[in-house]
Amino acid sequence: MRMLDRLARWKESGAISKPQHDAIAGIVRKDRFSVYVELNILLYLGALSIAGGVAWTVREHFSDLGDFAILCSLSVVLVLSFYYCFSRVLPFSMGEVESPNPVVDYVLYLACALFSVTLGYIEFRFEVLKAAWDYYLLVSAALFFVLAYRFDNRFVLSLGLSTLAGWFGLRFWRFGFISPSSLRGAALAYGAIVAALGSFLQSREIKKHFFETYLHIAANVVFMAMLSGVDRDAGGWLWAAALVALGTFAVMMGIRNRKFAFVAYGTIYPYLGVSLELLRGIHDDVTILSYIVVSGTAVVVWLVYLARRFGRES
Amino acid sequence: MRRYSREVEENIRAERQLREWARSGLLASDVSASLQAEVSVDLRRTNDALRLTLFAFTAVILIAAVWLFGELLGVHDSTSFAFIHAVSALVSFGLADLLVARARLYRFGVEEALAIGAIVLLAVSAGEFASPDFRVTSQILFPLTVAFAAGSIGALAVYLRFGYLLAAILSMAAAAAIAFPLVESRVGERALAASVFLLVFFIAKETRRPHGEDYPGDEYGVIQTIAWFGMYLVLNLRLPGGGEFPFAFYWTTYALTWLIPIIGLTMGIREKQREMIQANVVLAIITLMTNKPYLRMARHSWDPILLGVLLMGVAILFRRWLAKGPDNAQYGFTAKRLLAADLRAVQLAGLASAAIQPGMGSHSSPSSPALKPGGGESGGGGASGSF
Repeated sequence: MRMLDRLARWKESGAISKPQHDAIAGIVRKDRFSVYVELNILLYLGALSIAGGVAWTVREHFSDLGDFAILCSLSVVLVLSFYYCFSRVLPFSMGEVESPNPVVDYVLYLACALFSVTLGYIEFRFEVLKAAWDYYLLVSAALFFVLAYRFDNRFVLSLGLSTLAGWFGLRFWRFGFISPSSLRGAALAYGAIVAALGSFLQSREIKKHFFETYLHIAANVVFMAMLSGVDRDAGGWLWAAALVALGTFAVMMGIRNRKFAFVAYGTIYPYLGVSLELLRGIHDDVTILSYIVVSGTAVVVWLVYLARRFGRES
Repeated sequence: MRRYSREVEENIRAERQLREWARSGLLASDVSASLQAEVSVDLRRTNDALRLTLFAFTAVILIAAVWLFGELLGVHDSTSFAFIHAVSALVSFGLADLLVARARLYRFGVEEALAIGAIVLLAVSAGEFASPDFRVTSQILFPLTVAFAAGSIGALAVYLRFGYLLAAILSMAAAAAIAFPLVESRVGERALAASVFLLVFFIAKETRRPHGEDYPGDEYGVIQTIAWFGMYLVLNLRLPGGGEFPFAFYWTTYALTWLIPIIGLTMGIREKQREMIQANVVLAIITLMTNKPYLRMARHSWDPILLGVLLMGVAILFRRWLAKGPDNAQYGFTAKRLLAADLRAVQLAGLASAAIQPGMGSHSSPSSPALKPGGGESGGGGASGSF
């Protein structure tokens, strides 16, 4: 039965009202066709392309263009962009505020990216902070967080979170910790701080809808950091055990909150970790393949159980 | 022939739409729930995250099981491998069929991986049967042709049986790929592959016409779009894998790289077919990006800026034009969000954008010359100390 016929039948039976029928039928018939997603994609790709092009141009042609021309033009674009955004911003709310004009969201995103380019250029040419230049990252991240919350912008929030990750990586480098284990430490610290920050803001009811973004990034960073610890000469089992513990927690919380991506993380990463540790030093193909078949089947049975019990299509 | 009846497929789509309308505030939750009960089907389904995970694990198990089988039997020659792959393909397809029939699975990941795996195993088996030297690079052309042909037929069978769009796409891609090992002329292989895509496009378009967005028109719409996309990719000679071509063919394809997105976008807009609109916007962007290489002109660092300004400019002007119409719409098109799914798609893009950071240099400073520009290993869109 065609959807329009179903709608007509539901209207006749009184299951839905005439206004409901008319609104939905208009969408089904495509009398009203939204290009919301398409416009957002164009704006995002446009902002991404401009920012990439500016960074490339400045890098390639700074000697021809000169500091004054580069800094002036970047400053003008930044001021105009921020002015445009602040002149159109909606009043702040702790809850979700959907921007009525998506252009503001992407101009803000572009401005943040250009801000990074500008700071990078200033340090490159004038060496203001010299050895401590990585603090630019921290300042940038802080600014991006403030703007993300003020404008309710997930793209800028993601930019802030990844900029913060860059700062963490650099701090550990600065301290001379350049071994893989120290980077793992940085990643774990970063993941813990991001998760804690997200939880704190969520508990204070400040933009609760951002919480999932924090958790996705924190979970992936922490899981990957732990996974990188497995298959080492020493301590591999500890990392595998930690992966299992965190994975169990992720699965439990994923099921409780019906966020099944976390169930997937909590299954895949620990499986990889435990498998790497179990198969370490084993070179016999039959043993390895048998292990994959048996253990993989066990995981599939477990996931099917979860899917049937909790993971209905949503 | 199909494992799922037309009524089941229609009911599943109706259930999804009812859920979406409730999320979008077009229906009250209780009304949506009662109507969902009316169209509910007796099939086991799951959410996307678990489905993908199940698909991945089942695929890995299948590959490992086939290799293990070969190892246990001590098989080392191509013909025996071909036999094992053929048997495995049959078993895999049979298992998928059994799971759908007995366990009543629908897009559950496990049965999908088995069915798709059967296609790959069949193709490999056919290639190995075609030549004992299948794995010798210099003599691979005939076995490859056979492998693609078998893969295409197998994938079509899987699509007809289970309705998996991925199988339909694989069937079409394998059919087009036959041209490459089969035809010696570089022009001929491209022309033949494009013709296959074009043929599929017209078949899907005509078959879709009476159904519109209702099942199975929604499936045909996707197949039609992928065929169109595939045709463009084959004809754009400036994409990776290109090379030197005769003058007339080269410039004909240049004209086509402009015409295909324009014609496709026109068709998509006229029929308000979302997948065609989105695919042709992407094709138009690819055309802009490959235009200079086509014309053998040097690329400049400011080209991305011009492209970005164009994309943002088009979006802003189009949005303004739509906003001028009555009720913010022109010819039925509106920039306003109508469904909650649209917002979720943009939010997902926001999350994914953490992996792609614009305007990023390296995390090196002038005082740390050991670190070369172009890194960014730690992620971050922050300031960089070096250009």
